[in-house]
Amino acid sequence: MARIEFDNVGKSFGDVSVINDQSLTIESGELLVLLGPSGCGKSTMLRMIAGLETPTSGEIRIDGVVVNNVRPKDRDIAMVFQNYALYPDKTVYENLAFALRRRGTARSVIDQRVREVAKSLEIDAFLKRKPAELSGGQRQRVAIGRAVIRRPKAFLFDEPLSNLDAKLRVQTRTEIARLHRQFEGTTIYVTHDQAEAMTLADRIVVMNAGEIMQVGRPTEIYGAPNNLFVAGFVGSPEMNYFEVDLEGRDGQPHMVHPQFSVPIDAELENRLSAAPGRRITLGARPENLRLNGAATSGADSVSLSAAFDVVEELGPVTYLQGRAGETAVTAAVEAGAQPPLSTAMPLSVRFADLHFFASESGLRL
Amino acid sequence: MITTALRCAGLFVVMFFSLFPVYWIISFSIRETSELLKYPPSFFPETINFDAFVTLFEFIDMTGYISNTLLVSLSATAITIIVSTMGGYALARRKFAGRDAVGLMMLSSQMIPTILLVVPLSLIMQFLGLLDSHVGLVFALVGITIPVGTWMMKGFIETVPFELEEAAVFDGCEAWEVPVRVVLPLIMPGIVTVGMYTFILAWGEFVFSLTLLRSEEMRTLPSAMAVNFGRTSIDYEVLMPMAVTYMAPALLVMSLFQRQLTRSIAQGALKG
Repeated sequence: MARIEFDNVGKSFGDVSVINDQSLTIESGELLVLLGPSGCGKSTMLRMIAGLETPTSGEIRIDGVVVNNVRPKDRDIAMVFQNYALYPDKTVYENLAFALRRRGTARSVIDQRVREVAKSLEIDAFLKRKPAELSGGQRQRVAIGRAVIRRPKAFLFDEPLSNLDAKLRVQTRTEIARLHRQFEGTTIYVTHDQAEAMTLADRIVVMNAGEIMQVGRPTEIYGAPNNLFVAGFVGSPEMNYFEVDLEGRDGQPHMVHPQFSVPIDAELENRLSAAPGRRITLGARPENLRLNGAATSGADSVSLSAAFDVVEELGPVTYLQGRAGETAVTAAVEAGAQPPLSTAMPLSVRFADLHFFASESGLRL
Repeated sequence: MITTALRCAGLFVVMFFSLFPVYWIISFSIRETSELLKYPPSFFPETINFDAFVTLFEFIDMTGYISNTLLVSLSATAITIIVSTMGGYALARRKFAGRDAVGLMMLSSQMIPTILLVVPLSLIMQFLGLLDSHVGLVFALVGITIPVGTWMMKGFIETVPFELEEAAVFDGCEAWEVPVRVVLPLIMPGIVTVGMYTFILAWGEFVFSLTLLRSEEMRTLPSAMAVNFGRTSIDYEVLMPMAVTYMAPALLVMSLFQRQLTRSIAQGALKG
């Protein structure tokens, strides 16, 4: 197990800065997921840990030792690639054994370890086959086996499930979680799939444009996003947003939106008045929007009306897509609900379920 | 049904035009001398004998010509394979200033007709003291084959996912070992293709061998054929078996590596 630290690490390719002076500590034995959209720098972070890229500035430390210029093979880490990167001309056995052979491990030890790993990954029946003769899932298990067999200090996964179909992705995800518990190595996992991140991670690092936006446990990231980017990136369907102005009406502060005007107490006003221009973005998760009879209009909630025109039945939950005035709205209702379409319906959301962001900076208030 | 029939007929016409000259040369090489100048000629030989081959090897230094041609062709093939593989790897994998320009220059060199190179190459070889030497001819040949070979190898190397090389680095390979241990085994079909292309081109190359080689003991088969025959008369009795001897190695190489060549053409499914 390894403790990995980024200390003001920057990475540029020519004039293009990909990572901007970021610091991060990955604790020994944890499964940390780097989550973000394409081009956000998450793979570059992983490749710098691997030694496949050298930081332009700052230090990367593994167990306290600066490894900026240490070669990948000397870092005692293993990597699983998105496209498996299995040697096509070698059998599964040879693929698994290759790294150990390169390190001069005794033949009997190699054989024992290959069979152990193959058995634990349920690929022992395919040891004599070549990668082209395996399914996508089997290839991915061989790729994981190749990483595991060396018993490295840390495992790096670069979008390992992207090439698998939806069902296999869920199975392999579970497999990776089980392996992480079994082998107890520090694991850094890169993905743009928030479901993978939420289900696998001890902690998630959300990245955007070369910057770390937020680091936290999955529930923290989902429940208290630091900014509008994290709020929008984590959670599917995306959070609903309502632009409101903080105004005084009848001697009391109000949040004013074309659809509603809600009085707020002094404490909340105090918190929100930090927003430049007193312009605020309210965020509400689809599951926190309450329809019709569930509406609890009052001092602790916001009420508005919306007309829905699309129903998405996903099985356990149904999503309704529509508009509240000019604002697009998505609401989650229980499976089987059949609300009337294209008819204005009352909606409400409790203050406790609202997220408040400064519109200008996008930061959480 | 009609489409298949038309397709077969088309193929037959193409095959006839490709294979008839080959048949005619082989057929004439095994006919009696008296039959050679018969008019109209018969499609099938009336008698079969191999006396012409015996005569050929008895009165002409065929062994010398063949060994010269083999020496030149194999040297050019070996040099082309080594240089093209390394050059192709550099063009496919390494980033360096002028990479695209180097690639384009290599490609554009193919646009110059060989005949235009004869005079400057002769002067260069004379200056280097390589005129009338096999080394000079090999240099001239690889000047043509290396650019093409490099482009072919670049294409083959680009089909090998780069992640394989990165995986090899994690598995403990040194930087120099990665291309050798990981890439090389996967581009063998490409190497065979480049080798075949070079060997066949070098074996049959005529213009350079005629102009750069002067003395009889240096001659390769194509120029020997031109020099020995056709000035004042055409001696079919010797020309046809000589042509068969000349064709044989190229046909042999093609048939031996045909499967590899087909595989290399169909290659591209290296992932996984």
